[in-house]
This record gives sequence, C-alpha cells and structure tokens, in this order.
Amino acid sequence: MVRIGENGLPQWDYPTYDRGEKVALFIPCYIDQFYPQIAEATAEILHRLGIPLVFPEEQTCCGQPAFNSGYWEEARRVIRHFAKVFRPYRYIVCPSGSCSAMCRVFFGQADPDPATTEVGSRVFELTEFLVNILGVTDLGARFPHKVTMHSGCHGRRELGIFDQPISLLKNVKDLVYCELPNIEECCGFGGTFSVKMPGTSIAMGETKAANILRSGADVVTSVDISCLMHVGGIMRRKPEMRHIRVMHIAEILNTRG
Amino acid sequence: MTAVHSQQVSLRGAAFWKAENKGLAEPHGSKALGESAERSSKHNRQIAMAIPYWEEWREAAHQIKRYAIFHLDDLLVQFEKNLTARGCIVLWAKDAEEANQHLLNIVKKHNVKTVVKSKSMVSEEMEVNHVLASVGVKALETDLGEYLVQLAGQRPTHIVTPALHLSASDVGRLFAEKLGEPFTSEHEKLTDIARRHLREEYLRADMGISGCNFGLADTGAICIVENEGNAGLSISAPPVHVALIGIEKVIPSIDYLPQFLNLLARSGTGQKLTTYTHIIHGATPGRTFYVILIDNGRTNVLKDPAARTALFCIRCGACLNACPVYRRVGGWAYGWVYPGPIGSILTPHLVGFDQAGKLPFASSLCGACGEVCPVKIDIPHQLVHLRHRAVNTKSPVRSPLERLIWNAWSWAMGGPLRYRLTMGFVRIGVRLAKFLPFHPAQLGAWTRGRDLPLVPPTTFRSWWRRYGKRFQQPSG
Amino acid sequence: MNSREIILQRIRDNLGPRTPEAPPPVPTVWPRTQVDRGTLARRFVEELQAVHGEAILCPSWDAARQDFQRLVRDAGWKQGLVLDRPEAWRLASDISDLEVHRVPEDPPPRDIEPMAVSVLQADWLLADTGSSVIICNYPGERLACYLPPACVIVATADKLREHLPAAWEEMVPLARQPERRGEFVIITGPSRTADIEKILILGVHGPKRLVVYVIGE
Repeated sequence: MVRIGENGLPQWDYPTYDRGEKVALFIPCYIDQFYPQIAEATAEILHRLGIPLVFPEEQTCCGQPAFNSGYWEEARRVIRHFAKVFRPYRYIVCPSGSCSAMCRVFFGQADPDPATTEVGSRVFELTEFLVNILGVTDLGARFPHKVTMHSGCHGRRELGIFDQPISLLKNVKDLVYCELPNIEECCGFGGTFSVKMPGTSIAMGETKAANILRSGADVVTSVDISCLMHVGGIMRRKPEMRHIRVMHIAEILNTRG
Repeated sequence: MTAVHSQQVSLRGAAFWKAENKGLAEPHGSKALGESAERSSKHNRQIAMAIPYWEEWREAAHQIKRYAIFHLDDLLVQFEKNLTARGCIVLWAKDAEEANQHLLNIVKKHNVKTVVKSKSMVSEEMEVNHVLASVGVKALETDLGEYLVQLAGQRPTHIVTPALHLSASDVGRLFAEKLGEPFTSEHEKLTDIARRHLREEYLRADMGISGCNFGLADTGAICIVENEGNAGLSISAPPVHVALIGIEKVIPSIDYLPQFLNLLARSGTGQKLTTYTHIIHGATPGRTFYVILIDNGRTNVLKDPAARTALFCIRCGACLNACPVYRRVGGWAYGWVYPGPIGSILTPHLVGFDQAGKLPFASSLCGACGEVCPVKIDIPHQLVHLRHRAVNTKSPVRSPLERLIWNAWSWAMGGPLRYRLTMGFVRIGVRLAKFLPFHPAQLGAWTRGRDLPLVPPTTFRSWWRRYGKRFQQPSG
Repeated sequence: MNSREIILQRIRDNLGPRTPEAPPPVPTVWPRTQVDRGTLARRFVEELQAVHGEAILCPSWDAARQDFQRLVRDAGWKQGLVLDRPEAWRLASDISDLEVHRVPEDPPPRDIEPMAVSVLQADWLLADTGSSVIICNYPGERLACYLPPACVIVATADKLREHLPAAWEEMVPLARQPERRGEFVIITGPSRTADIEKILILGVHGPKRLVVYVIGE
C-alpha cells in the first residue's frame, strides 16, 4: 500500500477513477465555517472535469483534534459518524492534507474496527486526486502573480503530497512560482499545539513568515488552510508582510484565463 | 514500576514537567544550539538522501532491532555467556540504584580513587558522578562536551554535542575560573587546555567507565564508537574497565554491525564512520573487565506493544536536530537525560507518566523526527499513543475538565444539527472577540501573536444548499 | 530471585508468548564492485585526506622508509612506540634520530607517555572511508593507538579492501575465535571534536596527526 520512495516521502498506490462515478466532498469544519470559498472552488474544479459531486450534509469532522489530544474514545465517536456518513462513496475528496492524512493513516490507530479504517482509506486530498488518480496537471487556470507554496507536514510526510501541488501550480498560466526557503519546516500550527505551546508555535510561525517574505512572492498558498490560518494571522500583524495574500491552492486552480 | 529518586529529575528549567505550567513552555533555548541543530540536520539529511540505499538500510536496521527486542531474553543470556567466556564479569541491575551499588562494590574491591568516564547515556540515568563523589571517588567526564558541562555544574543539553549552548568565551571563562588557566577564546588553545588536564587524569586513573553502542550477543563483544579518542584512553589506560550497558543495546550478531555503523555515523554526525570504532573482545590479559547490564525501566516499554519501537533507539541524536520544538526550547526543557523527540517517547516509561506525562505534548506532530530516524522508530505515532495513555492515567495532563470539553465536542460533532448549532456559536464568539478587553485562556494563547481569522457571512453548507444541485450532474 | 532472573522474567512476562522465527538476513549494506587495486589506493588517499589524515602511497619499502625518515626529521620526533608486528618494524627500525621502543604488553601508561609517535600495522585498509583496521591483543597495543600525539600506520597494498562490509567477511572469523581477547580498532583519521561551537579541532585526546603508508603496487 505505501512504501518510502527515494526522496524520503511515502509513495501510495492509488485506485483508478471510473468515469461517471460519484465523488463525495469531505469539507473540513473550519473550511465550511471560515473559508467556504475554498470548498466552492474545489467543487467548481471537479465539476469542470466532468465529475458528479455529492456533499453528504450529515458530515461533521474527521476527529483529529480529539485524537491528537489523546482523547481517543471521544474521537472514535466522531470518526464512526464520519465512516457512517461516507460509507456509500468510493471516492472521498478533501481540500486538506492534514484531514486526509487523519482519515487514511490515523483512523487505524484511533479505531480498531476495520470497517472504519476501510472508509478512511478512500479519502484523498484534492491535489493527489487530481494528479495521481485523474492524471490531470493542467486545469487551464490563469493567475498572473508571484506565488510561493508552503508544504504542510501531515500531507507531505504521511501522504507524500509535494510534487502534485507544485506541478499544478507550475501549469497555471502567468503564475510565477517562487521557491520557499526551508519549505519542509513545520509552520508551528499543529492543531491544539498552537494554543497549548503558543510561544513556540508563534516562534515557528514567525520563522515561516520570514521565509515567505524572503521568497519574494505576493501570494502564499498551500493544500492546508489550517497552516495558512496560523501563519497568515502572524503576517497580518507585521506591516512589511501585509501585502502578501493567503490563498488555498484550490482558489488559485479555480481561476480562469 | 521502577522508581527514580525525585532529586534526580528536578532540573533547572524543566518547563515541561510542572503541572501548573499549563503548556506555556517558551522558546528560551540557546540560539546557538538551535542554529547548530538546524545546520546539522540539513547537512546530514542531504548526505542521507544522496545514498540510494538509505531507505533499504533503515528498513533492514528496523527489522534487526525488532528481532533483537522480541528475543531480548534469549539474546541477553547468550550475550552473558559469551562475555563470561571471554573473561568478563557480568552483573545485572534492575534499576539505577542497583547499578550504582554494583559500581560502588567494584570501587571498593579495587581500591579505586579516580575514575575516567567516556560518554554513556545510561550513566546519566544513574547519576554516576554524584554517586561516586558521595564516597569520595573523583569521576571525570572525558568527552570534551561532557567535561565542559561537568566543570560548569550543568546538565548536557544534547545527546551528541552536550555543550553546544556554551560559546568559546564561556568555555574560556570556565577554564579560567575552574582550572586556573589564563583566559582565551581560541578554539585550538581551549582544546589544548582540556587535552593537557585530561591526559594527566588518564595516566593516573584507577578505573575507566564506558557506555556501549552495540552489544554483540553471538561473539560476546561490545562496540563503542567515538571521535575524540577519549573512550579508547578511558578503557585502555586504567587497569579496570566497567561498561554500563542498557539491556536494549544487544543485537543478535556481529554480522549486523556494519549496517548499524553506516547508519549511526551518518545520522549522528554526518560522517561515513566515526574516527574510532572499537570492537572489544573481553578483558585483555592482566586487566579486569566488568559489564553491568541495566534495566532501569526498559522492561516497562516492553509491556506496551505499541511503544516497543522506542527501544530500537541507537542514540544518534538525529531526531533532536530535526525537531523544531527542541531547537527552540533546548535540551533542559525536557527535564531529564533524554531531550527531544526520543526523550518525549522514552522518559514517560522510564520515569513514570505521573512525572513525565506531559512530554509527548511538546510537539506539533510535524513528523520530522520519524522521517530522519535511522531505525525507523514511528515517533509521531508513538507521541499520539503516549498522549492517549497520559490523559487516561495519573499524569500532569490528566484533566477531568478537558475530558468534559472533549466529550461535549464529540457530542457536538456527532450529528449535523448539533454541529451547525455549535459552530454557529463559535462564529459569533470569534466575531465578538475583538470587542473583548482581554482574551482569556486558549483565545489569548492564539491572539497574543496572531490575528483571528475573519468570519465570512455564509458557510459552505448554506452555499451548497442553494447552488449544489448543478454539481450533482457531470458538466456537459 | 536474583536480578538476572527478575529482569529475564520481566522480559518474558511483558513480551508474552512468542512464535519462533529466524533472524533477519544479513543486509548487503554496500554492493561489492570489481575495483582494481590502483583505484582502491587512490580512493583510500582521497577519503583519508577528507578526514584530515595523510596517506602516502609508496612503490617500495625503500621509498617508504625514506619518506618516513623525512617525516621523523621534519616533525622532530625523538621517541617512537612500535607495535610488535613485522611491517611496523620494517618501517621504523634504524631510522636516524628516532629511538624506537617495542610496545610492552601491559605498560604503566605513564611509562609510554613521553612517546612522540606510535607506529602501527594495519590488518586491513578500507578504501571508501580511508580507514585502517588494527588488531590489538594487549593493553599496551591498545594504548599505543590513542596515547601518542602522532600515529603512523603502515600496510601493504594487498590489505586494501573496498569498504567495511568487504573486510568484514575476513574480520568476523577472527572475531569469533573463542580465545580472542583485545580489540579491533578501526581508525578513520586523527582524533577530532566539534564540541565547542561546532568548530572542528583535531587531536583533542587522541593523536592530532595520522599518517598511513601504503606499500606496494
């Protein structure tokens, strides 16, 4: 199922997509509530590729916050609800690397029931669904700006998401891709870590923000808006960084030329 | 459950231990340490990635260690038998206290007055130097970094480079104060001073204490790696050599050693091989060689099937260098012998969750540690596993209040209506936050350095309810 | 129950019943390639220089002794400690201005402290790392590797091996001999430390200078 490639990142085996098969959208709670435009962009992108979409309205959360805090019994209730809601769908696409990793990798640790893990194994982050399953790297988008990308830890280290978003960005017309120095360093969000160890979390975020400034980009993007919520929150407090816009990759990929 | 004396674990700046310090450990570590750890990490990672067999190597080492830990009893018996056949005197110690007792007996038997010591993490668990000092035996650390922190009366801050928090001027001042040497901050001169003082100690020491990197069960040999030559001198100059060996250090066979040597040097210091690799076969004629096999809580790790991989550790320090938290808070914040990610997953077993239960929370779960570990310890998975144990047992993080909150949260996330209700309140709360005169608790923890996200007028759900229909059919 | 029994019992109790299994296969680590001796020798020199050692390839014993004479004179070494091995003696005997002493089996360390240089014989040379493998049988021999501030190692070119796993095949049968005592020391460059501000300094406890003579074609 997964082995470690020569670049040190995991390489997953992906299923093929049967044309016409429904894809269910898993929209993390914070995107649903605070960044709906990301979910809208995700829906538009997939719709344009001819994919029939479903948004199961009973969905709530993947359980990650409770799981990471050690409250596994509590997390399990939420995870089992997730499994119940998404059971009917062969493909579940999510615009978040960290939530997708929770489903595909950590459901197994949190819940001994193999039926739950089986549903979790069908969750794919948006860029890996586009590139590894649909084989699409050019969406015909146009975004004439200097863009740098932050690579979220869970998505990269657990799911191997790195080349996919970069190749998608590089195919966006008129987009100037700026390398982010120390791209692999954690931004310091870490979920509840951000408020349990705020001093260190903020220090890490400031390092990430300084690197974003160094990249020379006007826009910073990622497959994880949770990281950008934290780093963006820091950048907004610094006058020299306020010109840098924060956008989820779906929003950039959804632009038209 | 082996107990550790409380005075052994109360350390200056042990931010993660205090129950009342609700996770507000601040990034107060030495900047030099952080920068140096980062440089090492990048450099060593580059080296590793340039080797086409690196992932194969890690997997092979992992499997060997897995076998070793799963057959630890048989291997220890075999190791003891072969060590004894080579003239070693093998002693067993359930805990640090007993190991120290053995040491004191040896000191008495051989009329030992001075001891020279090379690097051994298990000896730090035992607090050997204090124990020997209490019976009037002078025990001198010979590894330069350990020598410096010993002179300064401090704890080491890193497994491989213990004195990285000291600048050259700090060392110069230390030598001036403690050794009566004229002040200098030139590295060559400082090293010369240390060499001169320590050389005299090697020549007159009655006993040498070492650790052990690998115990070879099938040949009854031990392997020690080092760069300075201090281990070689410590064990070959004095008439008595005592090797302190944690029971998890045993590997089944000398056949496997090249694999570990290739991984350890690169992960620890970015070298192909360390300057000295010693493979020691028993006591040389005329000399006495003791081996003390030490448990001190390692068997506790075995009791937890999900935690056993923590015993695979070969003490390379790569996880420390890679950890963004360690780089910022430094080694002392972890409160005991082992800092960084390995400390977070080992210390709770060795010292008890009641004292160290908070350590697994000192992490953003970024996974950098697991990525670089040469024996593929699944550190990130261990961290969340230990968090789960910590909140369910007597520990500084067990909190009925927090349990209640997560219960309420899981209720709220248990169904769509409850979810929408709860999130509605959250949105209102975030909107109102800017009107509050101050931000308490978690809210304040966020806003002390970051703006809160803006609250949009609608949610995705409401958008989908209005526009979602057209997405259900594939586009034309 | 004594501590030995307690510890073994703890292990058995905590691991529970185990199914018997064969140990994992011995990994290859580095592949063996066909390299000619000349290439190995050159690689050895490069690798040793990279770790701040000196390597000198000599076509003959005369050339080696001549160079060693020059080395002794330039360094001003007056007393040398020589391992009781034929090749070590062949290099170091009758060198003018160098008073040589055979390494005693178990000398009081203070007696050999004044020695300026040790002369050792390597049983294998590892090209990929610039390493020398020395078999030491007695305490004096072990001490000779670390105590003197300079260390000269001599080996004939037929001792060159590609890398550690290649030499391991020959080392292990010797290690397995039940009567073996002493130490195999693998020396890769002069002693070093980076414990102060991560600045590399040579010769902190062990030799500051390491020279290896490789003799023959």
